[in-house]
Amino acid sequence: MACAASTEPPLVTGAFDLDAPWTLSAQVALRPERFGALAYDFATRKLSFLKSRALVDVVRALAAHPSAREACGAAGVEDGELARYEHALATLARSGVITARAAA
Amino acid sequence: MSAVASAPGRLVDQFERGLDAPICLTWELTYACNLACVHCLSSSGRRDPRELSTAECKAVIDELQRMQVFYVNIGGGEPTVRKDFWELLDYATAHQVGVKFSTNGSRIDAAAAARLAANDYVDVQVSIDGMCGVY
Repeated sequence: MACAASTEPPLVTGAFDLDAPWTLSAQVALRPERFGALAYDFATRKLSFLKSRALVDVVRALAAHPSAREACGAAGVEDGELARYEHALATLARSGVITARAAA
Repeated sequence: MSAVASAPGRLVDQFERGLDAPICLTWELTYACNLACVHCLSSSGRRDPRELSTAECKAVIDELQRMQVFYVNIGGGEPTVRKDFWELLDYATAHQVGVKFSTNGSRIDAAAAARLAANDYVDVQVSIDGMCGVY
């Protein structure tokens, strides 16, 4: 049920902006697993699976880079893989695991 | 629940090797209860003399935090009959261990309700089970 006083972040409904700054949401805990990581959102109680360690590296790199594209590069994502990671990050943004942050 | 991106193989195959730790677990903090329901699934009522002390409970919570167990489901017994229940609840949520607890609700007064409402890491389940139309 929707709550008027909800503190949930607004869900991203449009295309994912790879050139914007993003970060792991403050209320989300990432737990490393051999397949990647579990992400638990303490606000929404939602559990997500990050199915590769490379994606986990990207998510952890987001806060330290001015764009998701640069975070991908820093995590070793090749140009040819970028579309797949963009799709994955869009999914994480829709579920609130990552969130847009103000540009520095 | 959602699964995101690019592991080799199916997630279900990955799970065959298990997780590094539980996602959540159930903790019967006490068997003591202020009611005596005939349908009680755990035959609760009397306090188990081997019940963990406050310090032991906090040590368990510390371990859950290290393991990154995301939350515990606390039952019993009636967990609120423990004098240290609220202390333990606050300790768990301050250590990144969310709490969902089951209660008969009889000890949730206005102050307790306000305390629960102020804590974003707590979910409460109030049992309304009963026999023969009672409750």
